Amino acid sequence: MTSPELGEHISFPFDSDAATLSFTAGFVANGIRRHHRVVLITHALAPADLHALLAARVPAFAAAVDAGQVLVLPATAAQLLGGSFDPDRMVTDFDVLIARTRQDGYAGLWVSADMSWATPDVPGVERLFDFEAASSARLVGGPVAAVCQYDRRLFDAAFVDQACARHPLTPGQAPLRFAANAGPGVLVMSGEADLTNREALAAVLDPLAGMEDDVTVDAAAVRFADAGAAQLLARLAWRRAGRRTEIRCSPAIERLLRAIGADNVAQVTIEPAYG
Amino acid sequence: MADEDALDIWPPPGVTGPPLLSEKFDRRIITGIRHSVGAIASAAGLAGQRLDDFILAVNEMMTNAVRYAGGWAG
Repeated sequence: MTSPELGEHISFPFDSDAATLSFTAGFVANGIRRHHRVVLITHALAPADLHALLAARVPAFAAAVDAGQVLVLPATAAQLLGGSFDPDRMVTDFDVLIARTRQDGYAGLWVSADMSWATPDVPGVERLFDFEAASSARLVGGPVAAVCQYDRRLFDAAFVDQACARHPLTPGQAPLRFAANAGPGVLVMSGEADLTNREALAAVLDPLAGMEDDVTVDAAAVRFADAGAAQLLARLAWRRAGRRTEIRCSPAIERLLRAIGADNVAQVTIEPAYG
Repeated sequence: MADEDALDIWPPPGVTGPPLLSEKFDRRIITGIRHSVGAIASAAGLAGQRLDDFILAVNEMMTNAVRYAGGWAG
């Protein structure tokens, strides 16, 4: 996961300085090699300290910083700008960053954020989980890949688990990948859906509920969906009652959907497919 | 991580031989345990729809346990 594809939203929980540094070094090296702009947001370490550590580990690092390909920013200039966390400002700032990335000729933007700033005393931090989930949806099909690094030594286990469930991808947990390039109203998903990425799936499906046109969720390449994920798919069809919703999935998921009554919803088609 | 406490209920009536898998789990590792359950059940001869059902059943029990019980003491 140190070499994500654009559109991916990854959480990386870590429990040692060595683990986060090794991940970040791999991420930067891959980003440089793949000609993306790489933005590192740091909090536990001062930007100059992170810069020195990475310069010692990634051969091309200093040159990439000089060339403007890699930016190292403190969280106080990003998520914590003005001393509070404001998701709306984050979205605006990212749009600017994306536009600049395009102007500067990079194919995509890779962001890695040290989330150590997200302590309970930060104003606005109560909006973080919604922002994380919404980011999973916003990133699909776009030119950004983002990694959120959570220090397990700093946050309690339940907080980190809740944060991870809002990312489709977490190392060692069920991986979900999405593509939105199959046409309007078509969401293609692959991987596995369980409790460890449920809120991310809910957020990615959410915008489909309001679409007037036909919607197809092509989940043929989903190897496993738990009952909660099946419920989210059924709920999408139910919210769209009266408008066509097609769900393509494996025979196993088809049986699960029928078992929970998803086929009783008006205008739903559940199409068995072999992924 | 076999644990003697976890084996107090073993064996269930009518079952002989050692358990094929005995693990403590929390939310972080339900995906990994599900993969182990699939591999072990498959190696033990379960296949097709019965295998899918078994994996799903174990997954849902683990999911309920971590959602509503939370974890192990100590």
